[in-house]
Amino acid sequence: MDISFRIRRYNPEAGRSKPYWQEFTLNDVEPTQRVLELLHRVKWEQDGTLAFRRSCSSGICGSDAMRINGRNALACKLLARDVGPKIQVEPILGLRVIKDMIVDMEPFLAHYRQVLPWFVNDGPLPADGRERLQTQQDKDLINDSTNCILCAACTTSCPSFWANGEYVGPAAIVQAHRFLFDSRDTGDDARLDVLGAPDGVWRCRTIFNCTPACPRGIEVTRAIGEVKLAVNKGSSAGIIDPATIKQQH
Amino acid sequence: MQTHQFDALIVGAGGAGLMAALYASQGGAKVAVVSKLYPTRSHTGAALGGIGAALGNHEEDRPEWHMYDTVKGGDYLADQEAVRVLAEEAVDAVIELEHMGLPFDRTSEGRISQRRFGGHTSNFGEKAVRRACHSADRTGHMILQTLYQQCLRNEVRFFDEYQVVDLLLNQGVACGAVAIQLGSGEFHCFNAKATLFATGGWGRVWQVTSNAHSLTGDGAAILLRRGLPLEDMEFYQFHPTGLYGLGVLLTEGIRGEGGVLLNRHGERFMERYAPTIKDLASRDVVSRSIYLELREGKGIGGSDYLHLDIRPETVNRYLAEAGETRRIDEDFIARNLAETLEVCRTYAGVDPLQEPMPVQPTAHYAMGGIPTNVNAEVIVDASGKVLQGLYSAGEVACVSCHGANRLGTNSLVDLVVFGRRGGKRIANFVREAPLVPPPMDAAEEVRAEFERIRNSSGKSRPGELRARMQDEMMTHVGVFRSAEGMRQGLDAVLELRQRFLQDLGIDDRGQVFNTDLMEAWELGCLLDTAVVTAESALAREESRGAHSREDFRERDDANWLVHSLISSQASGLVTEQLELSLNHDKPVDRSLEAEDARFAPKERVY
Amino acid sequence: MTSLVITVTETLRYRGAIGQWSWALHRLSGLGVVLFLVLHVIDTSWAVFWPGLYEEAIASYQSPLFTIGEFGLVAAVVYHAFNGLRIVFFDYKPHLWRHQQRAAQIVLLATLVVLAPVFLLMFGHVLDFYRSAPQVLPLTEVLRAQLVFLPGFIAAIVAAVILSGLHGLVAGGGEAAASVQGSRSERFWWSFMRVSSLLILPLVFGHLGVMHVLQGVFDITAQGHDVVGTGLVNESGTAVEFVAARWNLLVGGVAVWRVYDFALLALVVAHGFNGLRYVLTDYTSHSPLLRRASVYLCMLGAVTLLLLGVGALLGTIDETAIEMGVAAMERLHAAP
Repeated sequence: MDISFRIRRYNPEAGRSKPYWQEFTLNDVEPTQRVLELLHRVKWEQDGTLAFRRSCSSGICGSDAMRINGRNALACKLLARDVGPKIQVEPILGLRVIKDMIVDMEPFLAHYRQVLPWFVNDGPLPADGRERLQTQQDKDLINDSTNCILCAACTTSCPSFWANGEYVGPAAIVQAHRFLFDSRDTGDDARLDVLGAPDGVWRCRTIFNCTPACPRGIEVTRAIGEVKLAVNKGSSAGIIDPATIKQQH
Repeated sequence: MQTHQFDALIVGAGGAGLMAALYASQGGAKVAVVSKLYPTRSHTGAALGGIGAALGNHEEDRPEWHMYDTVKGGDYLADQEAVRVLAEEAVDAVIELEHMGLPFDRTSEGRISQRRFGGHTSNFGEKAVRRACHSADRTGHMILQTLYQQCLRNEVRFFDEYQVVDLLLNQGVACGAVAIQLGSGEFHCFNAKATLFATGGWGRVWQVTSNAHSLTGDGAAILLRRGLPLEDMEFYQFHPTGLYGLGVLLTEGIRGEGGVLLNRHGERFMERYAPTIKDLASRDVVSRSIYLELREGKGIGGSDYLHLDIRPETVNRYLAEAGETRRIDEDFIARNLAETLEVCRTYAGVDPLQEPMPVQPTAHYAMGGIPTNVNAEVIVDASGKVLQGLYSAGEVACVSCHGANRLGTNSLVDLVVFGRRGGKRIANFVREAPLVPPPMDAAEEVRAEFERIRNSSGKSRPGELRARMQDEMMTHVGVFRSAEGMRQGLDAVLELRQRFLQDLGIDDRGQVFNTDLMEAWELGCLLDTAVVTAESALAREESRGAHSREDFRERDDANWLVHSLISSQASGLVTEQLELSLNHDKPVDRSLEAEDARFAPKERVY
Repeated sequence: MTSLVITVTETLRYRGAIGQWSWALHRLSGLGVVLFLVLHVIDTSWAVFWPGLYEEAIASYQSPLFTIGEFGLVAAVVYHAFNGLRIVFFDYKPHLWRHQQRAAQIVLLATLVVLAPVFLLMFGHVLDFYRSAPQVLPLTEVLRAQLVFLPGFIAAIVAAVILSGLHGLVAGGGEAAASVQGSRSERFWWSFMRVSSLLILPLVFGHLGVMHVLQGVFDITAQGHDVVGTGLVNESGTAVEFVAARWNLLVGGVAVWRVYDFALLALVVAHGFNGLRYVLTDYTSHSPLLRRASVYLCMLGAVTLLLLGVGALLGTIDETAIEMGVAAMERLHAAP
């Protein structure tokens, strides 16, 4: 099949200070080719100046989140047949565009760091020198949120984040969820303080854009909801009913 | 040019780099991590199935058995002291990861859950053992995240999207590295007492690969260009189960949970090649078996792929046949192999719960690389002489704990164990060591090379050169090799390298995120890595582990139970001729064998 | 301001699902209701403080511009209420998120189902009114009457900015303490918005039902017409008497309508101005001055409305007031 590509270009060095649209045509595209491969074809065959981030090309590294046909996705997780013969590609929203698809990730990562995204348990280690014990049921509470690859697709799909870059955003909240609901972690108090702040979890208006945007299938809005309830209660205990954890298929 | 001074410079932010950074910083060192990607984008995150450690949470297991499997899996080329360290410290390292919060799956007692994995057995090869500790099938992802998080907590300084392009040496001592800040195109000088390379592998040398686009052998090429040797470059692992056409990895954990490989007749052919542990034989064995099946026309529909089947009815049938009581169901698969389901559904349109997955071997892992000792110190000759201030760990390093073929899960073990040792060693070293200043013209040479590429306007586009190199290497320096084929492949790659030097042409002349420029420079690294791989492979006239010669089918312990070291004598960073020289004087460490005859080389049967 | 522009353009461009549109409608309907609330509370307080002006306000409400607005208002309140229920539900039961899309569709449907008969009834009142060949205030008069609010709005905004500036000077760098403090109050407000919505729902539907559906705004000034909910008759045909009849009605010694209107006033003002604060602070995150000003503006607005509203509810409407109403009515009718 033939593909017509419409790509949002921006390159402050090339003498054009404003973003513009550029069209490319690709012939003989296999329906199973990834959008990322098609971008590579444009770059390698037609215009080497096209800039985008990518690495693993199989949906695990989270480099290539972009807006494809109006919606956030990873370019390596969408196939030509999923998006049709006309593909429009733009950078994700709410972060400063540096060049073509490349945006400034620093504010996003600053929000990530803000929620203290690290395991805290300064209590004594098990006397037998072995692992801390945890039930599989407890581990399953964080199964979904540990899936996050920090691609920013959720955060940059959120109208609250577009409006307000100070909002910690869905990804940071999902990361906080991973620790708040980890039965071994003891760092809840500090995290709940950060999340309860005016630009914390409350800026979520339950819009649900983030959930379908997640390339990892994380129940993002649900995780945010659970964090809200935990902040409201001042504790993460008893918020999630283990019976409601999804089976992953 | 901006200069930064640190005690320790870690190049690469995958598992090994982060582990080293974490332990060096905990040891009091002022640490910088420089990475061309954001740390969580590193390819450790793509490791799926598990990390091997003899915890014995389900059944009896011992580090010695893990050592035995590793030595045997490596076809007896592994340095046994390194293997001992690997298997013994794996237990500690995994427990430490758990203490750092890594969310492992759990047994019914709440301990770390373990699964079977290729080549891992109990009691010296008796039967498959549950050794791979796992977090669903995204163990690497969880290791990467956990280590990054702990580094943040320890206030390790990260320089994200800075690509290291040269090593700084002064008076025979390593004193840091030169990096380009991708966002500005500016060169930065990182001056450090200790520099650790953890830059990962070079799977992008081959056409079908499980490796990320970023795995271009930068670290290996940089050291080669600075006159340092690379070890065992001929040993490159092809993983048996890449998703057909794409090479995306389907974890060995699928077979660990009971999945089987089937040919067009629906035959579980691994029963013929490895009667004892069948589909869980080591990777080189399984990949070769797949090629042999394909060669006999037993590919699915006569094509060049086979089936990997994890459907409960298939698995349970074989489990029953084997007299096992365990059974699996769809929920079990969905829980434990979620990533696999997702990958197959997304890329192949195949639902593994309904139909078998199409697979073919895929270029996966470099056993060779920068030679180091068990403390992650880089060594420069066959006698083990250390280059002061230079360290390496992870896939790019060759401490040779994998020998000629790596066992599944041991890559993660390698990077946590030797990353940790490197970090601790560095913390001690920098306490005493002086900071050697960088040479005066630190970035001049590499800057010139970048200007050459930036302003190149020849006819050879990097994309085309890369594709041709990958094709040549896949055909001639892949799973099966012969002198004739490799000569042909090598000549072709050398010619591509000439075109890269003389006829390159790129489009982007800018400074800001010039990915055109960076990809072209990485292509240079790939070409150099491809050349030394082919040269090393040509020289080794035997079949051992992942290096399988059709013209020398047998292992030759009398002549070839040695490591190879390849280095470039060329003066200058990027030269017309690499002037490679090979040396096969580095003996294999056989300290385990000295204590226990079971570690002595013998025929490898699974 | 740019963040507002981006949000508006990108909300139109980003292909989010129905949740995104529900959110946009929720915001717009909320803003619309708050705007009306301001006019309505101030106007109604005139019934006590300035009866003549009250007659003029009601005459404005009977003009075509406000009739259109009234339909919009009812639609906004109904949608905002139903969609709010949906949000409250999924906020407290996040694991049921898979049903949210269906729920958003049901909200739209339910809104339409409720609005259809309501609009029919309301339209009936409109028809009745225009059949009676009424004297309608011209548009220019209506606009002129609303113009007096403009300086009020500007004054409030200027005051808010000045307060914010002073606050900035005084507080200096006490960000961290403010954050923890903010943390507690945000938690309260989040719960308040949800709980208050459940209380407001019957009150506002009752109010709308009585004042806009059972009888129209036109009946307020119909001479000899029943004053709804009181069993009395509006002898003078003034809006002031209508209000007096309701507020002076005692049931078991309690002025039930005053109590009712007080509850509605307090809850809606708090809910509405906190909602307004959410919206304004969303789009002013880049400027601490404007962000604080947004908060002050909402506080000023809420306090003003509460003072006026409560003052009016506590006030008395006697014969003199009704006479002033009658006089105003005559003046209005005499106008060309």
